[in-house]
Amino acid sequence: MTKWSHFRERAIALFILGGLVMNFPIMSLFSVDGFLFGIPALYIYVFSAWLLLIVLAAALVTRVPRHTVDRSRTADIEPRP
Amino acid sequence: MAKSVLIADDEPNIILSLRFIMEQAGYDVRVARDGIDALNQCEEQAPDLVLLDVMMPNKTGYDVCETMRANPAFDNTRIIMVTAKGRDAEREKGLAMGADEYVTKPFSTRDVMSQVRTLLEAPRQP
Amino acid sequence: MLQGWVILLVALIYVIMLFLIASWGDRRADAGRSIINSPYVYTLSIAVYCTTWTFYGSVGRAATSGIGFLPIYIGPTLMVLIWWFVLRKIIRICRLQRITSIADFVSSRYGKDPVLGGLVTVIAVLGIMPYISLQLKAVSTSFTVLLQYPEIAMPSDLGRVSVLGDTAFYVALLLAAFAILFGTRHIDATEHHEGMVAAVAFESIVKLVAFLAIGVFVTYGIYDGFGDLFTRAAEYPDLARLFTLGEGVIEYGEWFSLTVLSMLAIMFLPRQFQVAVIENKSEDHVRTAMWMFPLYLLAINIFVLPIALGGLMQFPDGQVDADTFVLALPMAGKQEALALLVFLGGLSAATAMVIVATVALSTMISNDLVMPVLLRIKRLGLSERADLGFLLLSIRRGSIVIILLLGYTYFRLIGESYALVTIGLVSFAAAAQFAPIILGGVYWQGGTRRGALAGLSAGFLVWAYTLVFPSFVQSGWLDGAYLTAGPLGLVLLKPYELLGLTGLDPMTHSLFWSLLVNIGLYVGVSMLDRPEALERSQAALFVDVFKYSEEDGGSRFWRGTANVAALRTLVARFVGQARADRQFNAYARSRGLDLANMETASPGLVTFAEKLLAGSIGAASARVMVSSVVTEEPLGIGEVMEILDETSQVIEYSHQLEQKSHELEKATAELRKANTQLKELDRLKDDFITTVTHELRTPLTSIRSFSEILHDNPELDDEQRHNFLGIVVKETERLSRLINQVLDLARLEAGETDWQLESLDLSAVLRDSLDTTSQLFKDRGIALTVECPDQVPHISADRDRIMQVIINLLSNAVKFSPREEARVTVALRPDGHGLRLDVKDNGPGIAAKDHGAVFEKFRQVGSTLTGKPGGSGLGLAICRQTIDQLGGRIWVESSPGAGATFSFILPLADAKAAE
Repeated sequence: MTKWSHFRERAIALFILGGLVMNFPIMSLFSVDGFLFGIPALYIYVFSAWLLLIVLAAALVTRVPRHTVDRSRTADIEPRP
Repeated sequence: MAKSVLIADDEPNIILSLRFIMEQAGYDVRVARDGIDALNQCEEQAPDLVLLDVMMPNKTGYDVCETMRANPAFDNTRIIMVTAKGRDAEREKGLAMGADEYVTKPFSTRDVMSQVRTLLEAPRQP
Repeated sequence: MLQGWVILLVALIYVIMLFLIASWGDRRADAGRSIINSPYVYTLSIAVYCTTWTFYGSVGRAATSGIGFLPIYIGPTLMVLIWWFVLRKIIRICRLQRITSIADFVSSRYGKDPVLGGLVTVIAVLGIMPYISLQLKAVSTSFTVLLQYPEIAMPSDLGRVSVLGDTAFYVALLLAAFAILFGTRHIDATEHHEGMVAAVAFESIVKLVAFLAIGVFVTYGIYDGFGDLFTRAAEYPDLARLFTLGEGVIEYGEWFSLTVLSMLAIMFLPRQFQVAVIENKSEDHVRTAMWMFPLYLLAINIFVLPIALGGLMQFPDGQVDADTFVLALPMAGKQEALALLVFLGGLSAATAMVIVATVALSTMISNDLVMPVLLRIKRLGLSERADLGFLLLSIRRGSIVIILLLGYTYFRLIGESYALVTIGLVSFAAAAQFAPIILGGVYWQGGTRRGALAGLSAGFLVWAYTLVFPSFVQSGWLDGAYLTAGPLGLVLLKPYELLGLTGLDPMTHSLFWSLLVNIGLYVGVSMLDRPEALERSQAALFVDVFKYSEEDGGSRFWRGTANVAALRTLVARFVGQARADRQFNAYARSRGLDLANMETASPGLVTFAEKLLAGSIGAASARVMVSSVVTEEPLGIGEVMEILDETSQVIEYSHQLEQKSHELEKATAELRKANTQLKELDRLKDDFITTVTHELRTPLTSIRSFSEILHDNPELDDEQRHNFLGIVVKETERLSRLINQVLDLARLEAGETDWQLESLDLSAVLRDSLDTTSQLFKDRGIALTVECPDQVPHISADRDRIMQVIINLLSNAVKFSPREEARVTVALRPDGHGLRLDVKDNGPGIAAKDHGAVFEKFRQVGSTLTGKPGGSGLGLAICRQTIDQLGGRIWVESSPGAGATFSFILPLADAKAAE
């Protein structure tokens, strides 16, 4: 079951990381008058951090421990006519 | 015509002793030093009886026996297996292979002689 | 080109297309070949989260708050990270318990309580009303604006209209019609609406495409890319501040609370619950949604700020409402097709939201509000009615119409005075009230029915007071004094500053108080409460859902007698005879039961029937109905606790068993390994014994044979007699030598040697050995070379044994020497800390692979030229044992055809003493 608890740890870690990164304390660091290619620093930061979170989530999710997936179909035992 | 006997064994002294008593009994004796040699000689001219040692290099006595019994040309050849292995299982195996008799070493020369004589006088039953 | 009828026509065609997609989806579902069973469709359906709020409202918000429009999308991005635990658990519960709506979920969890279900329904309807009104506002506004083309005028400029002249009214009616057509065509035992989901997924694509189109147009069409756009905007100080956070733009508190709010909304808005949980086809899809949904959100938001800035720059005097920038900008640029596309995008967003939301709400109304009441009114005699399916459908259709009309009413009363986003947030805050009781219900077995009732009601009241009530005041329907001085002059009850808490924006303020009382009462009352049996069992089933198998699902908590036929009839009344029969037969088949001969239903069957019903009329009503046909012996709380205890013990026990069996497996594997090793050793032993007996019997045979011959043939001539006797003698010697060797070897291996160690001069021993074997060499005509110093340092050894080794090596050399020109070299010399002896011959040599084998027992390595070598095959084995035990090393160097050199090294006596 260590694979499962690893996965759970990582998911929660990512969750907390996301919460910190996308919230005021860190964000206000970028709330400056800087520009990159004419685009404001904050804007770039927010969308880059967001994209990074998504990529990490995708990486995390491909390694979900297999045995926990419930493959049972929903409801009807046989198809309707 | 004298009956022919083939002695197959890798131990020279045993060949010597067996040869002595066979020749004394008036049989025509040929000698083979290992399994392949034994089979070759049989092919050349089928003997009436083979004294077959089990523990031989290249082909064991069992192999030779099996091969010969599979070949209808040797249906009339008697086979006496001679070996140091004395357990019942081995004896059963030898007889199952198609040997007519099974003798353990050290053997009594008189016993061997009488067995040979019996086999060669009596007609072979399939 | 953008005349009214063109717009309407395009809209109509689009809607027809949607309808076709939806019916195709339904037909495929009926055929059992679902088109929505894909993680991508699932994710796109969840994207119904982005409504006209996203489409129009975000830009509006960005125009005043810069990045401040974003937290509503950050929240879901974060929440999905733990969806694999939270959402999946909820999905699993819903599947096992056949739950059909969020109200059903709550009601089922807290003891199948109809009151709680009804309360959730009411809150949901009232809470979502603002949201629906915002969709109506958006669609009608966009339609009106578009109609004014080429002028850009705002609807508010056009003055107030009557209801019948109000576009929004007709929009409301049209949306009602759509919703009825998409979502209420038949009663489904599982409450799946595959066609609807397919249409919604399609609309998500249209939304995204339209928004990206307008984004690209503004960024790259009007301006020269992001850089250009932002640089120009930076020149206006008013706009520049939108790049940052903080004062006047958006506050810390607001950002945080909006993030939290949206985290809860993504799960507990009725429409989100519907698509993410109820309509989910496979838990595995959640995996994809976890990253793909945030990606969708990112994509649809990346152009929002640029569009807002562009709009602010193009329409600087504030005449154009920022909410309409996405339309106004292409219109100003004379891009008619684009404007139409944008309109369609907005329409998509609105219709998707309305359809899903009203379907979800109407299901709740029919199952959890109306039906329970109707079933209780004996006068209506509903319990006796044969076909209730039609009644259910009618109730749902009616509720859809009512919901939309309510939405319209809200819009008329409130909608005009607020920006879209503000309206929407009110609904978010309502949905947030469900969070404590649902999350608590799923993770905390201690949450009770009364606790949930208390928490939910209180939260709802606070929400209404702090958000809805003020909006009526602000729209002029109530006296403004309520806001400034509190009702009845009670300052502490000021809706925006309860108990004197100042400094928070209204949203944060409301969220704080409502959740505080909600959670507080929920936890507090639950802890003081003593739950009933049914609550306890349901709580266990929910919180421990991953431990219970599909089979159990509650049946072990049921006891009583029920008649199979009665059950069947009951179910048939709601889902139709044909379907009821099919389901029952399928159940019987899967369990191997013979229903025809069964009188009394098993608990499993009863639970199955109840769940089947719950799919149509909700858990609470289903329970009522089932209890009407069964005589139930209700489980007392004590018994439930027993069952729960038992269950947890069983689970614990099976864990232990698993562990034990795992350990057993390991032990068995070890045993097997040991067994194999033993068998191997046994085999080796057998081999050894067999070989030894064979070796012993061979000389014995000769001895016996020749003795007999000599005895029986007294007339043998002398030469022959001499020969034969010689053989007897020789074989006797051979036999005893062999016996000695075997004994030696056995003793050596057992370590029981009786050696006499002494300090020896090996050169003397060597010379003695050579003397002993000299005859052998002469007989064979072997040229012998000896390199041996007169004296060598002493070694410590047993003289006889060492001599035995040397003689053995020498006789091997003789044995393997060729017939002609045989040469043997013997060399003795000091070598490092030891003394080395080499015996080299020029015989046939030994192949590298046999170098180790020659030293093994009974291994004789010979070539076909030499035939069977004489000797027992034990000699070298004894040599090795001897040398090893004297602390030395023996080895051979040789290659085929190049002779062999056998060598050993023995440590010097001093070296040994030094050890």
